[in-house]
Amino acid sequence: MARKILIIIHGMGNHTEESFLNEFLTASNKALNRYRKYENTKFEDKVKVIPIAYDFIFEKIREEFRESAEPINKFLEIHPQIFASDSLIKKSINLQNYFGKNNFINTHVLDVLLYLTNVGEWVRSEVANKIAKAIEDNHKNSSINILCHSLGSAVLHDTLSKLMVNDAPDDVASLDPNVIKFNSIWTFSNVSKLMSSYSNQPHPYMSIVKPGDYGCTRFFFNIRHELDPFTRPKMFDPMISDNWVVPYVFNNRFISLITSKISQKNTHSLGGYIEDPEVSIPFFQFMFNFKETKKNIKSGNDKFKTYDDEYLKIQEKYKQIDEFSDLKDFLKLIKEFGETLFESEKEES
Amino acid sequence: MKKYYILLLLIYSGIASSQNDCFFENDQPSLFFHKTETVAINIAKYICQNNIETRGQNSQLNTNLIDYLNLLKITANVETQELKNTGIDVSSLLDSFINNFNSSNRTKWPSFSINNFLGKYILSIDYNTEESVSFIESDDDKCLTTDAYGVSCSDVLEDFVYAFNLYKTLILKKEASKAVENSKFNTEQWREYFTSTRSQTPFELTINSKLYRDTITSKHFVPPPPLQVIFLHPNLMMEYVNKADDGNQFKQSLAIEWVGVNMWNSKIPFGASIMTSYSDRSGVRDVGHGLLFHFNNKYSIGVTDHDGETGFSISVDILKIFQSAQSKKSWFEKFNKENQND
Repeated sequence: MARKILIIIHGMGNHTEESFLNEFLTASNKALNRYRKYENTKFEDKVKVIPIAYDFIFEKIREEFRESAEPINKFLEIHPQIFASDSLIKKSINLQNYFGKNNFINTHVLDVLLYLTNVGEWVRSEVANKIAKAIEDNHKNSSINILCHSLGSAVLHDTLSKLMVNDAPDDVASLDPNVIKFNSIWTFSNVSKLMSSYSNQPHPYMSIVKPGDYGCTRFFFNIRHELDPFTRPKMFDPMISDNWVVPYVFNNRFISLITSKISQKNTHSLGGYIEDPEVSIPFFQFMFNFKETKKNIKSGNDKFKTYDDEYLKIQEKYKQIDEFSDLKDFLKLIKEFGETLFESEKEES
Repeated sequence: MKKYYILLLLIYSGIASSQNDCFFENDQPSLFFHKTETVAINIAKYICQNNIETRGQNSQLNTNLIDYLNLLKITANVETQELKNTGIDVSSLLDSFINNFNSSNRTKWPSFSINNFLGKYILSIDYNTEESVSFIESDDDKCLTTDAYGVSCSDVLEDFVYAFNLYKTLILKKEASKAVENSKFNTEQWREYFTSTRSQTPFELTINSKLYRDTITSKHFVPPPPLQVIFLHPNLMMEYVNKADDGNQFKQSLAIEWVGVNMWNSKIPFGASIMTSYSDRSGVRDVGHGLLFHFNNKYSIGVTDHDGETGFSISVDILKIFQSAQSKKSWFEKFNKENQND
């Protein structure tokens, strides 16, 4: 039988195709091997996984910032009298220099900022190319599924909005939605609605990235953790009244999974999402027809370790997050979230 | 019906000779639906070899193709008869499939799909979602006990989906290949814009993005902007001022480009900006104002006025033309040292 194809697209932070594939497979196999029948099964033997990475673009831009700022900085170290430290030029050079550095803010916050500039179109074009290549390489397989995480959900949404059209000029990349339909889209910690409000890309409730006859996918799964702070501002949470899709499709082709168990302090982590049985079981069922007895499912689920005492602490921290007034608040949140995680890691070590 | 048997004969004998672009290697033959698979593959080849336009109205499809698609439906119907004994009837889905081609609307090329959605199996056909056939997990084993199959119904249906969908496999390949080619070209242009042209500071990136915002929100992919706006851009230059004291004439300087443009993608990439040059030298004023010209996205030549004395600047990149990397490095080190000693 043909294996389903699963394209995976990462979120913020440092990723390569290899590292993201490894992160995804580690979590998937950890979850799968909990169940008796699948103790020695590898997810990648059941599903063909194709990772798509775009972080190298952000890294390239940061490298450009760093490389062009370095000699200027050296010159200014030798000739500090040229500009006052509070001059606009000095600030600009300092900023460029700072962006080149490798820290949490630059590898996460800067990804978001850069995506909102012209760099975003390079990212979309690159991702479109890789999605099209995956279809070309697997054209005999009509079950192509896509999983994306965090910023990857905005990247995927914006890419498909531009790619899945049939009226593009002949020399512009497009895939006719009357020919190609993805089997399913899985969005984890979906930030596409939030990002579209700053990027001017199509609103996710109005685009072709939806399930059913008028969308580009047959099924759509949207998964978020109650305490994942990034999903809360401008939450992607379509209701039947939003007319996103017709009621039949909303009820039979769309699932919104909201998880609450805490297996790791980073409630935004893709691994944490996938390992949760509330996610892994429907995910495995859909991807490769996972079947197990009720008894074995229960004993497998019991192996999923959670830290309930963490729930209240994290809930307290993020309960004030509802709606942000601007992008600055959101970026501040990413920074604070990163700092909290580092603090926790320090405490633990 | 007779007509379809003749078609079947034709289609089995291979509609047309092989063409490289339309080559199809079936490396994973169907287990239960050989005839459906054969018809589907031959339709795929027919569409490919006859260059049938797949984007357009149904009315533009030729009658032969419609007949072949009908044949696919009939063959699939016959081959799925056995499934009816297990309660799975795909005939309404096959009707939806062929009815789709009998309208005058834009051509849609539906695929079958089978998925386990939260413990319920759903067999459906694209663009007719509500026509789907579903059955619960416990019914999946019904096919296991039949003589015809001996595997679960979902496995049988996966095999059917694979065999049937082969009819559009070469359309998919053609669509995807074209998208790969076009997106590759666009991606390379963006890559060039960001890595092979003049570097952009965060300020410049913000300004250039603001200026291109209307274009980039287009519903199609767009190439990079033809112009790079230069704003507050620092550059290290080598500047020669004849009237400076001996030993201070040719010195490293920092040029700040206040505003300018670079036509990075024109036949001969060219740009210009208003700049101020800063250096530390005796004999003339340290600061000079003037113009900086850019060529080929790499090389810059400037002319500045230092209170009546003319300075000429060249970008460090120009040195690459004359010097090897090693000598350039030592040259740089020498200059840095000299500057530190000043």
